[in-house]
Amino acid sequence: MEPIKFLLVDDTSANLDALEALLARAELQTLRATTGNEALELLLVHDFALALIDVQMPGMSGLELAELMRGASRTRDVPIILLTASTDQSLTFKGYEAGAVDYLAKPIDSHMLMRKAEVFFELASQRRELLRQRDELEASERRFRRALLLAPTPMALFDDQGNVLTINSEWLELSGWKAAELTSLDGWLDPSCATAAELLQRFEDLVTGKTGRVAIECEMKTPRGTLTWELAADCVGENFEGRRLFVCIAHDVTERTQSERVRKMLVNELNHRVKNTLATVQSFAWQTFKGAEPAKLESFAGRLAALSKAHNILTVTAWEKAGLHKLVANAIEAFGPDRFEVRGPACDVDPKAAVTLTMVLHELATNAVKYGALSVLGGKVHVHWMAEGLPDVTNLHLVWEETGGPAVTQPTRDGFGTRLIERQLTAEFGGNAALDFCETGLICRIQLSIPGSLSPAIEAAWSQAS
Amino acid sequence: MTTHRLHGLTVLLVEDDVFVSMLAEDVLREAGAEVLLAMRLELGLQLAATADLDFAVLDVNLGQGRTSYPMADLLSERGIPFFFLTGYDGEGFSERYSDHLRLQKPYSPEQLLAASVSLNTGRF
Repeated sequence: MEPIKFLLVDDTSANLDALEALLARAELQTLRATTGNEALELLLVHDFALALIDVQMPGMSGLELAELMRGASRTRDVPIILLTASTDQSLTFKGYEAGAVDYLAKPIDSHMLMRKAEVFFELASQRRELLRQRDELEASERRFRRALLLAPTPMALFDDQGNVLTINSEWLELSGWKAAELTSLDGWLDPSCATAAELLQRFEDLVTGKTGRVAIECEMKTPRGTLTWELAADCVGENFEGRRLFVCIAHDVTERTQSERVRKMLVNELNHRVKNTLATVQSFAWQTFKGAEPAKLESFAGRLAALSKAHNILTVTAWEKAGLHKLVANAIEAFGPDRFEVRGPACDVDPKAAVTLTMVLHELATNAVKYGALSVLGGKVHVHWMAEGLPDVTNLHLVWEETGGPAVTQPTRDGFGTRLIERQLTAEFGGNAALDFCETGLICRIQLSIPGSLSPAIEAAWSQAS
Repeated sequence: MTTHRLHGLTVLLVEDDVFVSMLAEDVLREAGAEVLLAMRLELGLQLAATADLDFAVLDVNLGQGRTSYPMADLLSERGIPFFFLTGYDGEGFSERYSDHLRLQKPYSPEQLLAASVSLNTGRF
């Protein structure tokens, strides 16, 4: 660090030696001048915390030097203590008039001198410390702004008045804006963003300390077209003037938002077409078979409707999964749900299993209406299941049990339903399925291994039970 | 389907799909109704505004982003009952009609008849 400097001016070297000896201390540098001109030269080069000037000097006197110093802006603020052997009061007055802050009579009282010098040394070192801190803050802010400029992400720095202080090239390149167009938050958002009012309110809340970090998505019109940015902003501290600073980081999600939009539209379109195709197939069947075999046409239409219902549940989850409760409720909807007793834990099944299980339940219900428990008043169907979660697979035990129906006899030939349950189901999912033509009512037991683990809720219920 | 449960009634059927409309038309006609078929928005609007109707069956999605809601508005004003046919729930059913009766495609002939009859109970 630069030492603090005092200027000593006296035409007698011995006096300068004495002054130097008295003032000597760490971090203080004394510079000597034996004439006014020498002093002025030094004053041009150095910043002094104090000038001790002898009044009586040949050539330029101390008073003349002091007056010259007052006259120049560079030296105007250097405090001056005049030293004089004269006791002439008018000279003292002249000295103050020339701008001296203090006066010391020769012979110099060494304690007095040291005490006065100490005051100026302290003032200077405090000022020096403040400047150092300010420099450090400025440098730190410069480093921060430099990092911000270099960041490969759009970033901007703004203050608590909404002034944009720094904006990086990534921001400008992505948006096509010029820095001059982005000098304030409202100047930037008002013309480009439909939701500017809401965004500015969020920034306002952040600046006033009402809320913390702001994270918000916004769509903006820019010279590069309409862009969707995720903005994150937060306070990063104060600058050297005590003004709070905020950084705003943008993440361009335009592409992601667009492809999400397209994906949604395609899924919607696909769902729509699948439905229309099923309706078209149904219409064809109607036109082709109507009148010939009404019972078969009705059976066909029922199957088509069941398949469509399975699709309905799956479209809601974008063909990811289906809840078993919803699936069962859907499948029995057309058969009088009050005739059913349904019981089992919440459990998700994958799309393939969802479609197959829906068709199985449809076949069982159709059979029950024709020959089983639902063919007479008072008959009931119980559908209950247990689910056991293994790491990658869910073992499902589902039982369909009919009661209160007519006496059951083994059918003479395997139909579509029997085949679906006893052969296709087990071939597709492993496990086993059996139709028990019990005299009191049909019982169908199905054990399936469905890919995917249980949802957490079932996991908990299962571990509690076991 | 041989009973004439809709005998003497005039129905506006709006459906833009050729094959799907055939089924609906047949079912309604066989039940005794006189069917006015509109496969395009313009004719549908004209009939909804002026035709002498007992009820209407409206396919929601008429393709190219057009819907039958404008017809539903006209029918509502005239006090003519109607129900919707929809592809699937995710199509974004208008909030105005979110509680309105609707059938999901593919619907069975029986469902179509039942819905039609439910609009007209008390007329027989």
